[in-house]
Amino acid sequence: MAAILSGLFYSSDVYLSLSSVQSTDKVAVVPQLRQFHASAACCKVQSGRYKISPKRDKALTYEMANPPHFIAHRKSWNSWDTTSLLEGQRAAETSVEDVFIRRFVSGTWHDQLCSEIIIKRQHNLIRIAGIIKQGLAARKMYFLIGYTEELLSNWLQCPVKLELQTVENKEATVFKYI
Amino acid sequence: MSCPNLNSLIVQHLFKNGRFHSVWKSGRPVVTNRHSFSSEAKEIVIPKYIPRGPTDILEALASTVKRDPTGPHYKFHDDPYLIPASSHAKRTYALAQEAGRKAASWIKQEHADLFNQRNAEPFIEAFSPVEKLTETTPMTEDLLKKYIRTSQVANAIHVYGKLDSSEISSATKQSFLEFISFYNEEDQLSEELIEERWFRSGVKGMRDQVKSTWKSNGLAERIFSGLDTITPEAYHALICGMVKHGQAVGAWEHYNQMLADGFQPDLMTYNSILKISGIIREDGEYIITLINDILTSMAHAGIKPDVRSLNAALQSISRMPITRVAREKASRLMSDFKSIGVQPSLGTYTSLLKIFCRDKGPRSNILIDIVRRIEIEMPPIQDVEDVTFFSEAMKNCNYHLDDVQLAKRLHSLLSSSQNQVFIGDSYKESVYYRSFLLLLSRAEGPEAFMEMYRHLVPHIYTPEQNVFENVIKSISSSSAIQYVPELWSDARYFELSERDSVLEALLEALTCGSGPDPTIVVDKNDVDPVLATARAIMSHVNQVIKTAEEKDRTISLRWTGSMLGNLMKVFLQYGDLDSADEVMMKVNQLKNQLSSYFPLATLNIFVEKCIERQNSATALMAIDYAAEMGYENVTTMAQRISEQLKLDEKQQQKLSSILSNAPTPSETS
Repeated sequence: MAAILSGLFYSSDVYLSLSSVQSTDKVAVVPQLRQFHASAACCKVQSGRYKISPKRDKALTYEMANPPHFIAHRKSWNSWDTTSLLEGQRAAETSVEDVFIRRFVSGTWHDQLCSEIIIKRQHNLIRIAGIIKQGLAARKMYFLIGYTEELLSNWLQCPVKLELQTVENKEATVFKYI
Repeated sequence: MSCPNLNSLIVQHLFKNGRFHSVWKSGRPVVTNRHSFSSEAKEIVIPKYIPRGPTDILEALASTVKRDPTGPHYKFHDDPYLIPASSHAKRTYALAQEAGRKAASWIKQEHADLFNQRNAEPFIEAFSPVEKLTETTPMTEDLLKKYIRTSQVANAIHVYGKLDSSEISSATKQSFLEFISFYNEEDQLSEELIEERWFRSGVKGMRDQVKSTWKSNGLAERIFSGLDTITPEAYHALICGMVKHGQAVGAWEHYNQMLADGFQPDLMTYNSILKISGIIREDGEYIITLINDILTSMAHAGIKPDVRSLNAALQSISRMPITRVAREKASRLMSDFKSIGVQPSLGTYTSLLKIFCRDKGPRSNILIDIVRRIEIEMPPIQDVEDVTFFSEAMKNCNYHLDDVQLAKRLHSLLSSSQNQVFIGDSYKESVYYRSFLLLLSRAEGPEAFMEMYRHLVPHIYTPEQNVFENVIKSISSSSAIQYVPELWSDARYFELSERDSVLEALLEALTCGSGPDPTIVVDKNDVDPVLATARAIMSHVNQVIKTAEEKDRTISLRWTGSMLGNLMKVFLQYGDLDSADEVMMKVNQLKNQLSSYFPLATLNIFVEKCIERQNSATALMAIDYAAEMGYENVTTMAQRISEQLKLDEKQQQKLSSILSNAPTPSETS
């Protein structure tokens, strides 16, 4: 913790000294000490929460309807891996890969996904789960399954499996409208 | 540290409840404390170390997994929308997934620069894109060796062409000759394309005759003739390659040349020659002489034949035209090989079946002995022919022996988890299950048959049209009408519901019942399943024809007189007169377009029903149809109608006009 804090201070010091050099020519200015914020803290937390729409017609899935503090109570994690355990490895790589997988899958299955993409890692195996709508013919879905699995496993260099469930349309996964 | 305390607590607890005593009495002390355990401990015998292979644990795990008949094959997604039912869908989905894989590997090849990351440690070569052969690639012998090792035929040939052949070492030249003889100068379908191999080989397997695909005067033969010193190994490579790709005559010529040059053939070459001896010699006696000659020369050379020699020789014998001679020779060979300790494989049994059970030959029970033998011990897979055994044996059970008990024994052999590999490919699998289901439908009662049917269909096997028709007919002939609705829904599921012969068979089966069964439909509002099926079939056919007309497509499905007749019969049986009227309207509308006649008996019953409920309009339709078709008793029918039905003036006129237009019985006959 101490190391991180000192790092922060160090970088802000550098920033201050640079700005002071630019703004003044001959007048020697003692760099200002950084001050603590004195106004009331804004305790707003927004991430993972959805705003109510004016007409109250924004559709939410069950996963979206539950804010993050319900994780492990009403809903579960979207990424399952061991990076956050004691001596867990490749934490940074894993999260970057997860972002990549999510972007790749949602782009490949464009407008087909009706849920979040769940990524589960077990040993060297990556299982990608999701709910898709029955918008494509089954054989086209199989093509995309094969394509996604093969390309991702070549990229991530481990076996990748898709575990999909289908629903008739997107409305089937709507939990509530806000 | 808490263990002894806990133990003593449990002991106390048991004593208090008086249970400890009874446990002790039964001879199995469940809870003991440490002291008593150590005093009674026997000497621990550590079992001997069993050496295990690297895959033993995987094999042990695999042996616990069985084919689950209630779900789709593991290669499909377990989701109702994605589970295939018809055999066409199974094929399409599996191949579509593989096409996706192929597309991905194509992208990997085209954009190789995007696949440079190396995550795994140690790096796995299979994840990196294959290096491309370009103009600037230095052509070396090592590169050729690498391509041979990774079996890239086209690239290897390219590199060989660029190299100066005099500079290549003789060892590399030999391995290159072996390589292109084996692959016949063509790139093989990648090992990773499992599905494509599974479905493709079926087409190939249909041909019993070996077709010559060998490239005559190709690179292999040119390299061979260009060799400075011809070695026996070069002969071996060329002969084996020619036999593998069906060039029997060329192989035989080279074999003789080799003997003339004074070289000694090796085991594989001998096996290849044994395999083609049935092709190069046509007469039975000559084939036997040739096989004997080869086996004797093997004995002289001190080469011990193996199970492949046996299989090759038996394959040649199976080509012999006279059954008696072939049987004798096959028995001799079997006993000879047994005496030198060669155990037969499943491929051997396939050839024996072909020899002993000819289509028009006498009946032979050899399969019973074979099954008894492999029930005791299943031989491991040793020959390419081994995978043909089960389909051949099941065909034999069905067409030759007609023995359902034996078929079941055979099926239980195949069903054990380790033996799944013996099924071969999609074609052999469908031959196997087709024969099995046909035999069951003939030999079993409807209950036992349907139990097995539900086990196999639809996930393990989807019946083809003719098999499905046979199933319906067998159900219908045993009057097990309660299964017909299930078969109808299966027909829809297998995409067979637009085939008119299937619909004919289904409707025929629907009429075999004896009318409504009061035990099935207790509630008044419920519809009898048979009646519901008949209604469903009717609306389905109407729907199919309607959509085809709307979209201007030509389909083979048409209403026929017998289909409508059977429908009418069911509706009359179950007292659904509204639907019967509908059928009559259809008949009246189509009339001459019906490809077969509406049965007269059903028409008579219908007219009777019309009279009963005083429905003159539909009765007139029936008369109209009967008159048009020239049925003989149309006048008597008309008379009954005019006597017993109240007709208004218009209808009277119509009736008389129908009768006046109708041909008299003498004209039609």
